[in-house]
Amino acid sequence: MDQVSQVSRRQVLKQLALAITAAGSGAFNLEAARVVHALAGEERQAGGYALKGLTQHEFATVSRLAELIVPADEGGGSGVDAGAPEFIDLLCSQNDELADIYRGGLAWIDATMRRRDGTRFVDAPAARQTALLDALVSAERAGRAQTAGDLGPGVAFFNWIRRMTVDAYYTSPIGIADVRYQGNAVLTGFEVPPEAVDFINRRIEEM
Amino acid sequence: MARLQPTPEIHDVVVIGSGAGGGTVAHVLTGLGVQVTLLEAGPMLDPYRDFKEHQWPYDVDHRGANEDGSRYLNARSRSYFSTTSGGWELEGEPYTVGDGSEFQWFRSRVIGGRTNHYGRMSFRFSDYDFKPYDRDGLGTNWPIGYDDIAPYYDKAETLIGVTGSHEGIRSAPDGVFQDPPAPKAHELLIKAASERLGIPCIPNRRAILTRPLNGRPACHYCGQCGRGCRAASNYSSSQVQIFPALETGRLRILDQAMAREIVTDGNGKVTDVIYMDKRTRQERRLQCRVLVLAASACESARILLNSKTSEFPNGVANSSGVVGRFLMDTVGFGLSARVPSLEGLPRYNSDGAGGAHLYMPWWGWERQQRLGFPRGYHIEIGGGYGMPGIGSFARVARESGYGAGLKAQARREYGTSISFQGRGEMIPNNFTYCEIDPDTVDRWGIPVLRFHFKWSDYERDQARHMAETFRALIDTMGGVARGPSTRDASGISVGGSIIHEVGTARMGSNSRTSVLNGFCQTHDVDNLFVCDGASFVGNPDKNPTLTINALAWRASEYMAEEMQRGNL
Repeated sequence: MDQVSQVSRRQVLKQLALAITAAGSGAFNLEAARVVHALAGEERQAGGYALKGLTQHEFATVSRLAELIVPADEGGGSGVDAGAPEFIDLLCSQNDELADIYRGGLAWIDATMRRRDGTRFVDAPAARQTALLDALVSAERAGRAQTAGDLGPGVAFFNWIRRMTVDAYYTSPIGIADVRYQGNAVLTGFEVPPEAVDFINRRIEEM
Repeated sequence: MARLQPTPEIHDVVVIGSGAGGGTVAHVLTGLGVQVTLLEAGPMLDPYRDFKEHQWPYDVDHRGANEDGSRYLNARSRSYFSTTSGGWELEGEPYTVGDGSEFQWFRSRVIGGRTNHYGRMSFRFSDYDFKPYDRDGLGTNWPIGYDDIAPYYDKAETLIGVTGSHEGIRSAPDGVFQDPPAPKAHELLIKAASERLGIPCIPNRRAILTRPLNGRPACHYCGQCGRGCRAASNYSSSQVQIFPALETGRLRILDQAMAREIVTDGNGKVTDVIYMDKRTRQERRLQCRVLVLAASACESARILLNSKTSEFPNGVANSSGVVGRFLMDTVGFGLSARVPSLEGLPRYNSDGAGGAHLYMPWWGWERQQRLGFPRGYHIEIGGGYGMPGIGSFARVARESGYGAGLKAQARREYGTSISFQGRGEMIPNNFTYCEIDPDTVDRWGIPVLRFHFKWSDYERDQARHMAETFRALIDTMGGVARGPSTRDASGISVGGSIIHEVGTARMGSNSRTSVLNGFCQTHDVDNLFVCDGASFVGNPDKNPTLTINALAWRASEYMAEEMQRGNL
């Protein structure tokens, strides 16, 4: 499929989703929007994703980190499945401050991994990768005195990539399905299901 | 040939601004047969094109972080889904803040202004709110009373549609109400805790339809009022007043028209308004019979102060020197909490009529002396299963580290957070005002405002009372409080950040100490009115929009009568 028809197909589906919204039928939007989203996924799986802000190696490192931060499990896919690397790549291409945070942070991760294990982060065994992340989380929990040491920059960067990976996951169809958000619908009336009211009434009795 | 003269046409009524005040004036006057020309500093609005209702975060590649990723780096960057045109910062249109002050000013440049996205809280002032000085010796009495405005509250509520219930609570007078939606599940728990503490918790009063009204359908409960409602099931001046006014054929709109100054004739009459056409960057001039400022309290003050004539060396209609003074915002204090007893609540769609279905009106007006602070506040509540967005799980991510535990905690804790937001009355003071910055102009060459803002102990003591109340509510529910959500040491909001700025051209019976009479007409200039929040003498804990609607409605009827009589 050439690029023009790919774009126009996306446009057509977006128009369709909007038209269904306007018509005000029931569970209109979720399916239509998922179709649109899946198109972006197709592009990626076909290997056609063109990097926007990061280098190939930086993108690979972000992808591995995104997989570790939000791993796939029975409730949903991973940060990579949710498009976190593309999300981060896009924003780095649009914002120099973010780009510097990522370039510097990723270089720090590799340098630290080399010092610890003699390899870049992506080339290290999974257990060594998580050992570094565990060290960062421990340093963060220990507070400022600890992080002021040699892990400080890593703690700050891990916060960034964790925050943005988590955002990318929970703003994606799989993340929204994971927490079972039921809304963004068109309803004719608002009601709380009786079982939810019963649940609250029991809590009030215990209060 | 270039036209050097002002256009010869004399416009009957020129209105500057299209928000709650300007929209009401345009709607009422055109309904009474008057020709109106409306100037708006932003573009025309197309709800279908501009409102982002029903979009999912993944419909945009940046997921709501803004195309430049600014949500991550600038706390005042615009909210992608819920702002059409405007925000805490406007490119090329700065304002400044005096040394030692903090102030934030939210502006919307678009037809409908901030009403396209506001919270739709619609509370009447109480009878006692109009006579604050009589009550405790603080502030100043209004020149009008509840009985003067009550018929206009009725008219405004009947037009815009407000939900509510009849409660007979003096601090929160009942109005013309549509049936309110049922409480959300977490609100039932909050209501039980509230009543245990002796605090009333009643159906919220909001300009959101639960029944069709004048061709506007009832709410479809997507919970996204803040993004603007394409169906017009909530109130916005654009959809409820301005678009219908256009259909009368008596309203003309000049958009991208930034008012700069008012011209008077040397005999106490406005003759012209000068504005910048943003499309051509050309200065233009309109002749008018009557001029109505409704550009927002501070923007209207800016226009008056920038209109210096030999007749009015301190600005048109400012012989009192009061324009810009007595600026007020609402006292804000918020506290959120995790409520473990909400874990396991059967999942449902809690979006509802975007925002809270219940609220707590002020309950302490009879024992004010014992409370240690003057005036009162109401409590707005938050909670439920909101649509995930940028930052929704930031705390969970931090607390859980990473990995499988992060996802498990998100599933467990989603929907178990609640919040309380206090919204209280500020007493006007001499240290809180806006003035023209002598050194700065915007990109249109118009001198900008400089703000000065100070809370006093009255407000800080009130905020402390809010903190105590919220902690008691959270304790009663077995919740875990998360600490103040706001920045100041005592947790009180930054001035202006509640977006209830009012008072900069207050009304009064004495022309030496006030700018307007009770009909929002300037004391100095008969054919000049100010119909936005600038007229407020006090700023009770009732969000200002409904009162702006009612005062503008009353002023418009008076204006039409005076025009009819040949007085204007």
